[in-house]
Amino acid sequence: MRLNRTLLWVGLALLAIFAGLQIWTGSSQNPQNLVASQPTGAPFTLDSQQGEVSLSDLDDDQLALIYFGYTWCPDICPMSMVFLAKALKNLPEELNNRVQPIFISVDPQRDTPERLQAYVEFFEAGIIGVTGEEEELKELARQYGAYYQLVEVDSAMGYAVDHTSDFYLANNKGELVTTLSHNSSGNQLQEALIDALEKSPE
Amino acid sequence: MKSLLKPFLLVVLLTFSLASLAQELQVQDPYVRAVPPGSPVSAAFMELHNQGSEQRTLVAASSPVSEVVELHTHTKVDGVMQMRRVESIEVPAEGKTLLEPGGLHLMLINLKETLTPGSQVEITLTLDDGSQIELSVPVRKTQMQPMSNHQ
Repeated sequence: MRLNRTLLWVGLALLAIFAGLQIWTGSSQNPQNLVASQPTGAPFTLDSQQGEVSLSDLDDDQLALIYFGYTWCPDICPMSMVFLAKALKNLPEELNNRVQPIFISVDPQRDTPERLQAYVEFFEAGIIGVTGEEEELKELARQYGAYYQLVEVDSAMGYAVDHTSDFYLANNKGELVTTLSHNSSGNQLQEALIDALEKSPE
Repeated sequence: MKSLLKPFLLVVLLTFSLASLAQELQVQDPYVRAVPPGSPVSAAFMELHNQGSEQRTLVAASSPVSEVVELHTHTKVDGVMQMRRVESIEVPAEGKTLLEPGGLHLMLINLKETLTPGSQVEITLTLDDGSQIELSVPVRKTQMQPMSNHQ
């Protein structure tokens, strides 16, 4: 009898844990819950092949042009990087010097700083490739209004990374200045950059 | 004499049947995206034109430059880009299907060599009727046309 009662309690406890897990994993499936409703940006220090890179390294008149991606992304990320490179190339030199493009890999399992370096160099736009700890990246993405999720897929890739594909402009305090849409072509991106740079302090 | 004629006829027949099948589905403007050195993946894009009166379906692809070639698509869900493998890509009768940036593509996984712009990559497409199309596809740097968006 006593044994039965113990079993009952154990069963109930297991059920409660299971229900809790369900709620927890269920909520993490929904992008809306993970993206800050009003992203503010955040300062960060992440690893590159050249060592640590921090937004506070930027001058007061400089802005970081930030993209969250991963190098196993064969299509969306390279397209975005090409748009970025084109936009920067066409900026007048004095404005170009005030933008530092940063590619943040959200796939630190596969993207070492060395791999990232080879990846960003390919686009010839002075992009710095950085990554960090998974928890840190998750929180950073949330603070910028970006979303990503590693998803097991039926593919030789093993897992895919679902992700938003916007650009974020932030100053050296880590304050988000503006978000530029994924579909921005090089020209639109360039216009938005000029607009933001002219508004921010020289 | 008879023993010689048989294989000869077989070759002739095979050549004709392959040629007629290949004409039904035509591939236009194929390219593989040049990727940074050491990249394990790339994507191939092309236009599939079906001249025939029956739907044709692309069911598989292969290439000597990568261990695996999969058929993939991108969809945008709540602003999030999701890349997923698809079983097949249909090309409607007397219609076309575009494999283009931001949408359907062939995913080359675990590349065995660096894909440099200007070089050619062999890709074999396999269709639902068992026929195959051999392609020599140029490697190109990413083009500047805007991405197709899924809004």
